Amino acid sequence: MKQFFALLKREFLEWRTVFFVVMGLYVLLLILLAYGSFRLSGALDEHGFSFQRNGREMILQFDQNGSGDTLNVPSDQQGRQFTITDQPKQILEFWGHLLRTILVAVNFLIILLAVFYLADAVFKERSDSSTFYYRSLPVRDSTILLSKLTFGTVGILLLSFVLSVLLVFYIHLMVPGKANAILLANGLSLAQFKYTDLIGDWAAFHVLQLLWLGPFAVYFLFVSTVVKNRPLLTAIGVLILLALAWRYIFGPLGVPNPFTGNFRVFNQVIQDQWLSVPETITSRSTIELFGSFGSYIFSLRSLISVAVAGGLGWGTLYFYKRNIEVS
Amino acid sequence: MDVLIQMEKVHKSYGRTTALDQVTVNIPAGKIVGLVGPNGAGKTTMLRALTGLISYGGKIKVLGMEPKKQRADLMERAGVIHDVPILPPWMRVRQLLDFQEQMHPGFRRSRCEDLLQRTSIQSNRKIKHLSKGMKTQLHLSLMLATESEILILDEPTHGLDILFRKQFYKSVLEDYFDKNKSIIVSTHQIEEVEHILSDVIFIKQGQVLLYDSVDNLHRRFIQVVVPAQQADALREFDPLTETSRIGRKVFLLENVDPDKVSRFGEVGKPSLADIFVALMGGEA
Repeated sequence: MKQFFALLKREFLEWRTVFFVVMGLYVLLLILLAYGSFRLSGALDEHGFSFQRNGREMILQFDQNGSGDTLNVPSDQQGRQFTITDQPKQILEFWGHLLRTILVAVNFLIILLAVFYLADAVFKERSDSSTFYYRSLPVRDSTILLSKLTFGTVGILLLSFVLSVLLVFYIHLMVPGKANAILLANGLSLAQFKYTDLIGDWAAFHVLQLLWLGPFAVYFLFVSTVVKNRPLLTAIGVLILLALAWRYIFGPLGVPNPFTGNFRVFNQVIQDQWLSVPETITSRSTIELFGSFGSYIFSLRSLISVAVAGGLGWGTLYFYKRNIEVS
Repeated sequence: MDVLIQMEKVHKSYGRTTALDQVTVNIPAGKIVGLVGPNGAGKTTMLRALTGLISYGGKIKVLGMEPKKQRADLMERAGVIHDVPILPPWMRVRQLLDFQEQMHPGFRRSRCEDLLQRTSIQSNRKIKHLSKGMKTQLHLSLMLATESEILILDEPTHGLDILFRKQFYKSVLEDYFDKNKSIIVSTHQIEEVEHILSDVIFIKQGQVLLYDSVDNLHRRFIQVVVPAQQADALREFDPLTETSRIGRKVFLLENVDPDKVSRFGEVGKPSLADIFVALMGGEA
């Protein structure tokens, strides 16, 4: 285990520059978000939105057309269900979509990092001959490969999870006071988002990614072990050719393309689970924007993914033992 | 004496090229064995097979272990230096020591640091910024500070200057070798290692031409330097080689009693390089 963690640490040290670049992009994203929030706040001011609490009575004022319309929400009605008027619904949807988009954007960015890492992980040590050094150590080939695979999957998805959750809280902090006030007026404060559900569901989503994208991860590592040059281009090129060939051969028969199909189902999961903001919502109730991905984890698709990843993993180990150098 | 390496009918081909051709050798422990052969003779292939880096036909046991299946276990008791720099170029020297310490239970960090203090290698430097000689020095320090029973060196001084090459082998002898340890060193520059070898293997086109102790070789082969007019007399002994040296002739003879030829000229020990060239048929 000590060796395994040393190998993981070594992977991080070797790839930290790439990580720092990703972190840089992440920070840039945070800055853009802060700027966006600032602009939103300004836009709300411009449209004359204001919120006051008078005793137990909430007063929402919006003066978009200079009409000075005021909506008083009496205290005895604050527990009832309100129909969300257009403007607040847009704001609520904005935040709902923003949360989802940000989570997926960070996740996608980190998955790109995983693709770059996995395609180069073995190839790099073969091309600079350092593979001879690692193989001169008392450590099994399978442990070396497992450390790379763990780093490129569990490690990177963990990074994605932590960063995206941090980002959600960042957004929460960055909500401009006025926007939150309007949401509060409709019983839709961001505080009502059930964050524990969100984080739990997001974690389950990552486990699902690990299972369903596992074969792709091992595939990239496999290519990195086999090719003599350009592992990333080769891996992507072969993947595209395979997808096209599959579609050409099996398309008319309706057999799903296993590659694009994987992503289609993935997208479907997001569509199913991450519902749009409902038209009506009960004041003070918890808003469950995020469903559970748990049911998808224990599925036939997961089982097939594990089996395919296992087969590719065996092939990767086989070629790792044989393909030492790239020349 | 314990057998260190057993090779039995070991065979390895790359496509149509045979790199090792039914090699059978048994090497006892406590020796410094030179693996000598011209470029492409199969030296590197043999050492890679011994360290479990490549697949092969036949049977190999090193320290009682089968390298192909037990490479990780074997590497706990063996050190290897290759002919090219293999240390991760992105690491700093300090990070390399950290890594080696975590990966190899036999690594003694303080000893490595002591060895490095004799050099100009600084711990915060990146390996990629070190010269080739420094990289080899660093790797050697790493190996010398790691407990092992056998050190396998595959042309370790390839591309380095003569001063460094001499210093390298001096360190190997003084800081590593004792009767409980063994060294196998491959080279095609035999004159460099001749003085440290106890045994030698001559290899050509994947076949072992000769495996013997250096002492035996010096008993088996003699060199006779005679005036040119005595050459015909020496030719009667069926010399392996005959070369000219400013008005004199130099003969290499095999299995000839020195007393029988001493009356013709000076009898001496041939260098391993001379024996090697003779056995290679002038192809060295």
